[in-house]
Amino acid sequence: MIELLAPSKDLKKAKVAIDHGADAVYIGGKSFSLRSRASNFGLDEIDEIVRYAHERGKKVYITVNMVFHDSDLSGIRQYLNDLDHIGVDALIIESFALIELIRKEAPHLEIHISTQSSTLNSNAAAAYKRWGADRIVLGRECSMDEIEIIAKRVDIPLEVFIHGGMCSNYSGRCTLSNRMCLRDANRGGCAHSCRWRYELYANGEIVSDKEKLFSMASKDLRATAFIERMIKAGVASLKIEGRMKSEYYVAQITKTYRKMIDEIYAEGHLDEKRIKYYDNELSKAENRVSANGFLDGLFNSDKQIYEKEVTMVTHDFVGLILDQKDGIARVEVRNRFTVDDRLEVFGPLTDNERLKIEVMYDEENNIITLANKPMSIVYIPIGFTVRSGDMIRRVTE
Amino acid sequence: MQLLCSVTRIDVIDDIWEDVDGIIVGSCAASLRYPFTLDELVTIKKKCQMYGIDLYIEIDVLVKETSRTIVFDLLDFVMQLEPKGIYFSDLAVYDYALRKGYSDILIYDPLTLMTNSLDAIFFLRKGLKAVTLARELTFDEIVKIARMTNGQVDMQIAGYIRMAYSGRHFISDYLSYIKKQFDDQKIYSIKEETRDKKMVIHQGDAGTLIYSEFVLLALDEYLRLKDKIARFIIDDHYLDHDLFCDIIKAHRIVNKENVSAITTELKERYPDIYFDTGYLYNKTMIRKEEDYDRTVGTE
Repeated sequence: MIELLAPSKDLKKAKVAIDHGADAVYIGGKSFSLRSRASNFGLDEIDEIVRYAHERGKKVYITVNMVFHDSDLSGIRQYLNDLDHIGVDALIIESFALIELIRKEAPHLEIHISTQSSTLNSNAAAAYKRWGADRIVLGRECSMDEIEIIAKRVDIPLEVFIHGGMCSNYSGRCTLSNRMCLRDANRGGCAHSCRWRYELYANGEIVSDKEKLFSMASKDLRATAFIERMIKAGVASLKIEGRMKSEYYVAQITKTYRKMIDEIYAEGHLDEKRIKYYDNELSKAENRVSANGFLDGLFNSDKQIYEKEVTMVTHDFVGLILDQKDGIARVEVRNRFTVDDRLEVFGPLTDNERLKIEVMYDEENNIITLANKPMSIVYIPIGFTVRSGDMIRRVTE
Repeated sequence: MQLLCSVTRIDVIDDIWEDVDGIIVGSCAASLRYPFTLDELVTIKKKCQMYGIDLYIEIDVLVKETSRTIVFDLLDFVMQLEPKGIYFSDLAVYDYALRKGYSDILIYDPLTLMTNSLDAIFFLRKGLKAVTLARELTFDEIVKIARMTNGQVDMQIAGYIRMAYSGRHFISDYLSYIKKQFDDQKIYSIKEETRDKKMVIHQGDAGTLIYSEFVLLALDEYLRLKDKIARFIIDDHYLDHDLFCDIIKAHRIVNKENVSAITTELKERYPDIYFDTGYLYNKTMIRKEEDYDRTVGTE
């Protein structure tokens, strides 16, 4: 069965991803990982999530995908040893030399070649396999047709991005941020200079529109229309981007793709109506416009963002259910909501249940109509079963 | 040590051959930058033979699965020209050359990824001729890698630096959005709305390149690295003819006594060009999150 691979910034989100149906999670350690601001896992936390995952038959991959300078390599051997000892399942790397080092220092770990290497063809994949790689994360510039061909031609598992942010330039081949902000994009410091606004000149004369300046910003990727083909092509893993994202995002996106994959296996096929249903589910966690990237073989202005990004929030995450006793849910407030709001509950085992609040209490047992203090606790009688970890969202559309 | 230059115009070879040891060219069949047909490559080879300079080929594109045969056919063709070396950016070229038995003339140039000595040594152990160092390395980092690899490395020493490579058509997509036409005969540039310097942006069939706003010029550093680096590359893309020739000549005649004078003279002769040493003294290290918040402020 195809693997669903979800991102996690920290321990809590990693558990959320696993609970909501991820077969594997990928995380970054405090060092050596590309997303420096998305890496909160010390070795203790890595150990904890590996145990949590393995108890549930799931996997943990660690990103060691920084494009190293010599000065960054201090401590790498010990780090690899430690990860091997903890028993993580794979390392996601960019550096060629790391392949040999991992074989020596962490021989039990699989080696996955990062999308930073921009592998776009079967010959490159074959070269990595010869050198000892166990999986290739294809570049996001591959079309679905190309993915199918590569999958037929190579004898190494392929991992494909299906959702989330896209680099405007080939991953690993961009130093705009380096030059413009002295922040190394290949070592975790990308300032997303590609999303800024630029004037465009032709032979020295300005040709850009004052109101709609030039930008390289790309719409996010959403591959719902291609999941079935990826499964049939024999792709090994479907990857969700987003190690910087919230637990709500991770929960909703992971759960949606989980259900979609399960339905494809169960039914053999998804029609357009069902794909639209899952698109709507994904939209409940989205605040950025999306398109299908390069998957349909085309890339044009419809897939770029030139005007101020429109946020399309249709649902707000407002509360996290801590537990339920005698029908009363204890809820941790995450965002402002009232008893009159349209709410729904979802979770690993809870499917979009509408919630009508009849009465709500604060911690002093006072009846309240408004919950507006983040991380405060409120009590809500709920007439159906909810579980620890379920989330409440407000419908804003 | 060799001094090479990339060439995107045939006629310029007649003006520079005396000052270089070799030239780097590519074919429009598999390049974002080079316009040469296969016939023109043959002509270029003949010029190289006539002038006694080495021919190097560059395949600067990342190779999509559906483009492999074009690239492989090109490789088969260029091997008949007996190039001294082949610069490549995608491992498909390496894989094919290995199968054909000529990986020993390959020089891996992924633009940005060759940033440490271990990766450089990895490829040298695979039998490659050399690797080209990433443009964003500091002088000290270059010295160290050169030492660790016994100088089997190349580096760009002058010209505009390629800062980003995309598979998208940024210019034509944007222009179509604002209902204007893309003209591939024009020179396009972009300027971030809060800054004052422009960066050339180049679009071809295989995607888009964005160049630095500065022309790399590092004559003093060239002298200090001369015995440490295998090949120095002067990139001609978007340099006008006179500037290109002057930069090449400067590298030929520079020495410890005249380096400041030559650098100053170039800057005075081309006052509209922003010359800079690029990353040679600019570290772009990651810093802690709180540093970003203080210095950048928004994201």
